[in-house]
Amino acid sequence: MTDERYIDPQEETMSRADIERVQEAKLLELIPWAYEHSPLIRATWDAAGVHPRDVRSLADFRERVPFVDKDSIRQFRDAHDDPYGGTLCIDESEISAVFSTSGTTGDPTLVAESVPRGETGPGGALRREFWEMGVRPDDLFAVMLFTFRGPGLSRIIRSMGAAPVWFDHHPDDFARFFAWSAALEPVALYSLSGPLIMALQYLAPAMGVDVADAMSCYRGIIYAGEPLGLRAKAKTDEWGLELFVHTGLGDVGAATECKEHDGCHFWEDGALVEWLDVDESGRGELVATSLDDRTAPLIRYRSDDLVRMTFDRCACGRTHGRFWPLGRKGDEVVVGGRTVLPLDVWPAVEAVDDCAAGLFQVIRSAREADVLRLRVGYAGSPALDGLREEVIASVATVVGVAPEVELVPNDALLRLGPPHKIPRVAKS
Amino acid sequence: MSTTRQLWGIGRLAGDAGNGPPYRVSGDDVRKDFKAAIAALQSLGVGAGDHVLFVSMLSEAAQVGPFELAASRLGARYSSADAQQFDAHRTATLVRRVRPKAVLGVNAAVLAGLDEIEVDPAVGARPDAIDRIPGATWWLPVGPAVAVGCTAGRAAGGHVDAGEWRIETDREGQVRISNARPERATALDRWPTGILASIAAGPCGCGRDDPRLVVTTT
Ligand SMILES: [Zn+2]
Ligand SMILES: [Zn+2]
Repeated sequence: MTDERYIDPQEETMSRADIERVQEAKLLELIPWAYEHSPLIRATWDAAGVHPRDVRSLADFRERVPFVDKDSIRQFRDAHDDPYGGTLCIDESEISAVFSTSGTTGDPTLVAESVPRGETGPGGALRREFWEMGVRPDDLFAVMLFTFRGPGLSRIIRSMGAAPVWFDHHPDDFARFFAWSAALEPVALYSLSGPLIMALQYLAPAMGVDVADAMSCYRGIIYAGEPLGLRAKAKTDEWGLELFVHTGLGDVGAATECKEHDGCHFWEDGALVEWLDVDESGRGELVATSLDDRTAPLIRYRSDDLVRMTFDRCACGRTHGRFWPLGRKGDEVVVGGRTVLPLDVWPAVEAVDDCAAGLFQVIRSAREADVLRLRVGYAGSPALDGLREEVIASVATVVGVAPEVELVPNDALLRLGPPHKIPRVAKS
Repeated sequence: MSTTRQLWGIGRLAGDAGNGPPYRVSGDDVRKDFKAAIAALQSLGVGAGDHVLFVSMLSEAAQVGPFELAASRLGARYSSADAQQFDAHRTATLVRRVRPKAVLGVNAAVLAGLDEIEVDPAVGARPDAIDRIPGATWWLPVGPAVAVGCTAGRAAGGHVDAGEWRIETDREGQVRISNARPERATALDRWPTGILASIAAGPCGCGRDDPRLVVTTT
């Protein structure tokens, strides 16, 4: 294993001034292109009375450029019968593939891709995180995922001189995963999720597998899907796995932890990231602009993601920003003047032994509520009255609000989601 | 045996009950499979400007990947959805929004999650779903390959690329598959596919002369 810390040393450690120079240059090229070619961007800017000639610097951009969000894309899509919601900047004949977001919060958003033959395509900066996880040329990389994101990940892995080994993100594929991990010794895995960690915990012993031993070949493992609960973290620590939390960057890319595990890095030479409407508790919305995307660029895209963010240099030496995901703005419930996100409830639920899986939903019919209503999953067949009291007390202590709790078996909640996450907020 | 750098990836042989070898494919294998995939898509009527939706699992990437490349080469676009019930809504959304010319790989799990399957596109269905979709033709994973139906209709069976694979049936009527070219990254010699079918070797109504698997029992 070569021991350079960075695969792209110059880009990963460039000064703040250089980052901004790169961003400004790319932005000033992108803006006229997007205004000219994206019907959504043009309509949004025209409605705001802004023209590309009004934007000559990063400062102008921050001051003048109007926002877009998921709703404006959906509205454009429905109003104009345009499957791409007005984001497409190229002729449909130039699109090579159309992928889609996971769509747990509604119908999936379509993402058009145009990758010239022989190129890696979008997301290439992921090689920086894969290198950090320990992936080197000639290594094998286990990819345990779904198909709907497309083959981009495998292209990135190959571009590093490594090769993918494909598995399904489902417990049904565990036997093969264990056997081939032993036989082929991949060094990295993309990805584990909360439900898969839980499944490993329960199924591996029954399969006669010691997870720590079976997964000892992995130098790094991408963790994605939902926030990493304390119980799951303790379990994977016990197995000796190093997880790298990986999350979306407002639909323009991804952000991933480095070995310092101190926030998820995003790459500012490929995206302009803003942190807006930051409240006194340090929660603000992530707003992202894709700088390299000429297919369907998003400009000032309000992600609805609430995050803590820093632009300070990381202990790993990288100079690009980092953030800590906290939840979705649309998931907030205000109870008695207190703002509650699913992530606030999580540690309180999983602290209760029978609810250690951390499976719960916040019942949210409106943003403001008189009482915090939770649907909480339990394992086995405990005495429910006692358990309900225990959950209420735990949430009251941790969150500061005594909830109303409906208890359901874990399976009832797991059935609601795809295999890597469950909806954390329900209308009823 | 290829080195890692010549590998395109490692997937799973269809029908592998858990004891099959890792299915290694090299970049060279994929270029060969890609040529056959072009012929298969063309025989389903896919051409420039069309959209193809692949319904599959990631463990099938070694088999499906060449078809994705083939769609692009034909000037068509493609999309992907998982062949699982939870993801059936994606198949439904894509069918509605991008109006694909062909939907390939539909299985019973996805059907269970769909209210109805649009009759418009050509549907390539797996054995557990084909009886339930009128007009569907074959998408039949067979070890390292996929036998794909054509415009000649369901009764004609599914074509297997003769350039890369030799197929035969054993005494039990099970299809066994071998490499036609020794250079492939995975050596397969009469690998048992678990599929009961007969082999039709004559010319097909669609114009392809690759042999066809005609499934008797699924
Ligand atoms: Zn760092
Ligand atoms: Zn034919």
